[in-house]
Amino acid sequence: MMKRPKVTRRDMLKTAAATVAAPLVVPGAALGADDATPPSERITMAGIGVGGRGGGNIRSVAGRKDVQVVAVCDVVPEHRDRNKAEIDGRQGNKDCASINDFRDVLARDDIDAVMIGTPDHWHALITIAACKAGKDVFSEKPETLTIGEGRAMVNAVRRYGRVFAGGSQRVLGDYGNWPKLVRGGALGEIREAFVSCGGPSGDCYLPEEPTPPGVDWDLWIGPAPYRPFHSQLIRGGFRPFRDYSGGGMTDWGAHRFGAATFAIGVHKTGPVEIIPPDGKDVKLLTYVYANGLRIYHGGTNNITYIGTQGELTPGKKLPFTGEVDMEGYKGSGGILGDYIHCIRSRERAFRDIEIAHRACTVCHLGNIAYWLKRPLRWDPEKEVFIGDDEANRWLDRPKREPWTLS
Amino acid sequence: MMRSLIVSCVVLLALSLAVAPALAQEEAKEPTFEEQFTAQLEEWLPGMGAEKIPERGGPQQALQNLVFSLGGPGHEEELKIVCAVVATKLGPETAQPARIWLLRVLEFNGGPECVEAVAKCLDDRDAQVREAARRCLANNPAPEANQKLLDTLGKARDGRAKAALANALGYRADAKSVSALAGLLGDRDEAVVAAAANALGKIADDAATRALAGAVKKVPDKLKAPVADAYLRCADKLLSENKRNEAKAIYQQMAGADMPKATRLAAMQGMLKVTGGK
Repeated sequence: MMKRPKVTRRDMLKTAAATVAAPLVVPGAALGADDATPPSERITMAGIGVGGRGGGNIRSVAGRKDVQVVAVCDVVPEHRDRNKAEIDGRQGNKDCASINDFRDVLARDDIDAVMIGTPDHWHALITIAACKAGKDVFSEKPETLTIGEGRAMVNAVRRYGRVFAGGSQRVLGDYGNWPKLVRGGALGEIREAFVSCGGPSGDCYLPEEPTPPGVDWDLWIGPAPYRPFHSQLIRGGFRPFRDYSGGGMTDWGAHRFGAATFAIGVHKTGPVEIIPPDGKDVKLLTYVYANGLRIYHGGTNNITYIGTQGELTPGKKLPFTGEVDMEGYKGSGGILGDYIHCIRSRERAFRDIEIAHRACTVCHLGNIAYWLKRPLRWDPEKEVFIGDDEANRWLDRPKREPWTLS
Repeated sequence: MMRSLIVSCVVLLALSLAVAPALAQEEAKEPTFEEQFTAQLEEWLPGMGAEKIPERGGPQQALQNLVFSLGGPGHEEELKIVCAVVATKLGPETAQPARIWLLRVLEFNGGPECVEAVAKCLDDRDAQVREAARRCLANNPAPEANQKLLDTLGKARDGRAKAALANALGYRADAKSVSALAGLLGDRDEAVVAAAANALGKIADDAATRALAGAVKKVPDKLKAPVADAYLRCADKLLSENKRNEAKAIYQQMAGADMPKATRLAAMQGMLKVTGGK
C-alpha cells in the first residue's frame, strides 16, 4: 500500500498563507469572445498617482489581457479623468473608476493590486496602507523618501505577505550585458565605479499660487510640511525639493546606484563610509564599502566600472557568452510583467522591497552627507550612522498630522 | 595766569591717566559667540519671515547651513548656544514663516535647551506653528521633550490633537509614554485609538504588548485591523528576541476567524517564521 506523504504543519501553513495571499479576482467586463482571459484569471489593478509616469504605467497594463484596471486615483482631477478615458478606451468599457483619495481605493475588496506613481513623499505611507489592506504593490522609484521609511516598508511587505515591485526598469533595461559581465567577473574584482546622476535636494521657495479648483492640495501635501500650492509641484517638478524627494540623487540615482550595486553584487548591503567632496583632496562624493570597493558620485556619463582586469565605460561593448547566476525578471513584459507574474506566483519581484530600499538608501546616504558636509560612518546591518547623532536624526522625519508611519 | 594754566594741565593729565585704562579695556572687548549669533539672527529674521516665499530663502538657508556646520562632533557647545538663541525667537513677536522655519531647524538640531520654548508653541494660536512644534519635539532626543508631549496630551480634548500627539509619542517610541497611550485605547474617537495603538506597536515593550492584548479583544470591528497590526509588531519583536512561545501565542490568536483577512494572513506569516518556514 502506497504510503501517503506526510504533510507537516508547516506545509499546511504555507498552503493556507499562499491561498489567502493570492488575488481574489472579481469578474469584470468581458474583453471579447476569442481572446478573452477568463475574468477569474484577471488581476484587478488600480493606479494611485497617475499624473506622469504613474499614468503611463497604469495605462500600459490596461492593455494586458490578464489585467483589468478598475480605478485610477489622483488628487488632480485632470490626471485621473484623462487616464480613465484612455483606460476605458483600451478596455472597451466604462468600468474604470476615477477616485480622489487613495484610502477609498484601498478600501475596495475587489482590488488585488495597486501601482503607485505619486510623488516620493507618499510612496511609503501608501505602500504600507496597501499591504495592510491586502494589496500587492508596485511603486515607482525612488521607492522611499527616507531610510526609516524603507525599513518600515520592508517590514510591512513581509508581515503581510505581499508582493512588492519597485519601479526601476533601467537596472536591467539600460545596460545590455553589462550586469552579467560585471557580476560574472569579466572585469575581475570591481575596485571602483563612477555613477553619474543629479545632485541632492534642497528646500522649496516657490512662490504661492492659487490652488486650481478641484485639486486636493491638502492631500497632495499629505505627510510633508505644509506650504501653499505651486503648479510646478503637481506637474512633476517636485524632485528638487527635500520635503517631497531626494533630488537627482534619488531620481536617476535610484536607477543608476541601483544598477551599479546590482551588477557589482553589493545590492543587499551598503557602504560603511560616505565622504562628501571637501574642495581639496576629495573631488567626488565617495561611498566606501567594507571590502574596499569605492563607488563615486560623478563621472562623465552613466556608469563606469573599473576592475582588476578591465574597465567598462559608456559605449564600450564586450562579448559575454558565459552563464551567470543572477536575478532577473520573471514572466514576460519587463518590469511590469515581472510584477504581474509575481502577483500570481507569489515569488519576490526582481526589485523586491529589500533591494529597492537598499538602492534608495545609497542615495539617501549621499544626500545626508552632502547636506551635512562631513564624512559619515554607516552600519549597513543596523542601519544607523556611527557616532553622529545629527545624521541619525535624518534617518526619518516626523510626518505632518494626521499622517504617520506605521 | 601761568599758575592757573599749569594747574589746568595737571588736572587734565590726571583725568586722562584715570580714564585711559577703561578706554583701553573697551576697545579690546570682543563680542562672545552668543552675542555675535544673536546679532546675526536679528539680521536674518525679517527675511526669514518675508511675505513673499522666494525672499525667505537666503536668510533661512544661511541659518540652516550654519546649524549643519555645527551639528557634527566637536561643536556641541556652539550648537547649544545657537539653538538656545533660536528658541528665544519662537514667540508671536516673530513673523509666522520665520517661527516655522526656526522650529524646523530645531527639529533636526535642537536639544534640551529649546524644549521649554518649543513646548509653549504647542498651545499657539497658529495651527501651523503648533504643528511645527509638535514635529520638533517628536524629533528632539531630550527626555524633557517626551514629557512635554505627554503633558500636552493630558490636557488635549480635541480628537485630532490627541491623535497627532500620540503619533509624535510613537515616533519617539519612549517606554514612558505607554501608560498615557494605553489610556487612549478606549477613546471614542477612532483616529485616536488607531494612533495610540500604532504608537504602542512602535514601543512594543512588555507593557505596550499587554495593553494591546487587552484592546484587541475589546475594540469594535472597524478598529481590529490597526490594533491587530500593532499587536503583530509586538509579536515580531518578541520573535526577534527569540521569545518564540510568546510570539507564537500572539500569532495564533491573530489567526483567529474573528480577525480581518489581512491580519490572519500576517499571523500565518508569523507562524511560518516561528516554525522556521519561509
